[in-house]
Amino acid sequence: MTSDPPAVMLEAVSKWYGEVIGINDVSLAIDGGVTGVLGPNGAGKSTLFKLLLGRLRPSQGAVRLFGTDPWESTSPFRRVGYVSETEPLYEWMTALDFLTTMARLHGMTREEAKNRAEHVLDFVGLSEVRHKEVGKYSKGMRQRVKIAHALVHDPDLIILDEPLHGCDPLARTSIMSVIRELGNRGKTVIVSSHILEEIERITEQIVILHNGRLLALGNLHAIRGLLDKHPHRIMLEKASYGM
Amino acid sequence: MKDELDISGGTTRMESAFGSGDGDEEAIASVAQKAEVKGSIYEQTYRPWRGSLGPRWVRNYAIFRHHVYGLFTSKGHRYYHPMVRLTILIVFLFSISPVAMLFLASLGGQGGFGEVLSRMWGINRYNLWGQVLGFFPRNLCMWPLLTALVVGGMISDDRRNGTSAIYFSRPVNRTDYTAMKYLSSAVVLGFVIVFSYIVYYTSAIVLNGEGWAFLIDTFPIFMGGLLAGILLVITYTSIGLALSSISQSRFFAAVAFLAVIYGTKMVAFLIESTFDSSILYVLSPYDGLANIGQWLVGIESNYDLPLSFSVVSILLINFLSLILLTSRVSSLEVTRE
Repeated sequence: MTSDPPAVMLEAVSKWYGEVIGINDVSLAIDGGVTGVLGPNGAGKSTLFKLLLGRLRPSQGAVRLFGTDPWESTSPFRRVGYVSETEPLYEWMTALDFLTTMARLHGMTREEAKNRAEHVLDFVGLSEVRHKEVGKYSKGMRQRVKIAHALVHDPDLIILDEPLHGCDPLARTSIMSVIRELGNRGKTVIVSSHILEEIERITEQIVILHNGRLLALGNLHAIRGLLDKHPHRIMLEKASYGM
Repeated sequence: MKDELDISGGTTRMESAFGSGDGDEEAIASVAQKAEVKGSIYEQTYRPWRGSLGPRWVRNYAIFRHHVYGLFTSKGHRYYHPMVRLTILIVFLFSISPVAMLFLASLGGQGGFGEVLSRMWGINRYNLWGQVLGFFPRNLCMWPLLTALVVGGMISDDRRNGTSAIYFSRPVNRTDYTAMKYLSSAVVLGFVIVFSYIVYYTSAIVLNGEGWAFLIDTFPIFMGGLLAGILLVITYTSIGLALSSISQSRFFAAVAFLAVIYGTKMVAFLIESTFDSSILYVLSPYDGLANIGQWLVGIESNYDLPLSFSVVSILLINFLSLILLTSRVSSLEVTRE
């Protein structure tokens, strides 16, 4: 009997850039639901995502997306939607045109692409402004267009790199709601942030990275419970005020 | 809550401080209106996609049409500046201008002005070669400019804006990406250069009412010119795309392309004039193509350079350009070691 491989699997993966370690001996498997990847800047979140998207080759270990090495083959990307923190969009296009173009890059026909683009824009709450140029959108709306473009081909795995960064509270709430809904639909969603409160509002399943190492993986409350069993060291610094 | 406060009725703090109320009788202070907080609740229903995604060629065609259709409309396609579109149109119209002269010649009838026009623009080996490979005006003012405008931003725009990531996070591999960019550029150049050549030849036959004998006589020459035109499109596209792939600016890529075409010819010409040596024409893509083109249409070569040198030169130029192009594209959006 064979079972489907998990959406994401890393086996003892390390990646170093010369002397600097990006990811250090990380092993994990993620399949189904929303998983938050937490860690401060420089923790290795971006390196992890680059490895998943085949933009970096691991120095050691193996990366698998649906059982396939993303460095070797682009075939897993049929089932992957990626929202980058910085990836630019085609500013001159309307959201509907942009998404239709993206859907066609996945091989949909013109009619299918347009219908699907309209649906995902409706899903992220942008159907009323779908004929407006992307370049005229606010930050929150752009983030939602990015999420929509990652969803246009109905992927099984959605990777979101800091999707809430720079968004106002209203946009955050709607994006969080979209992410939760995708998780409820049985999609595998991986969302990164360096703010625990953000992730807490989306999911309880977390991965904590620090200095490239996997610190914790699992349920947020269980991890907090485990942390209580460890001794804590609290440092207090006295602020000096000049006269 | 009142939005406007009339402060003319009492003594304000400012009056007390400065001891003057002059001119304040009509003073009105406006309070910024509270921004209306709008909220919207949308029904969040996600519908899974039930269709099947198309094969590789459908995805590749989407890349191709994105670039080519953009010349006609940027709605849903690549953006080309209106001036670029206008210039391409002007170059195209100019390239088919011999058709207008042939039309005038056909109106002129036998003898006189009609015959003069027909001799100047009619079908012969030199005119077929000149339609594609003539230096002035085509390879001085038209084809290099056209190539620079079309190919300059083809990859450099993606490098500058990071939009190549849009492709590479999808099931589009780098070979397909490069091939489709190449094909898109070549088709646009081919439409202007090769299509205008075909139109010229066809219209000469139709307007002059030529028969089968003329067709049989001139068709091999036409095919030679066609091959030379295709070779020119391939070579210019290779060089242009290679330069575009190493740059983050379409301007640099375009200027560098013009510099390669004009610069190599200029240097070769100066060396020939000064030292009576034509060897440096091997560096000039235009002269290599022109030499091969002369052989293909069967006219006497005006180069001292052996034909084989030009053939090897053009093959090497294309090969090196493609190597540069593929190596640069393989590093796009990737931190590869």
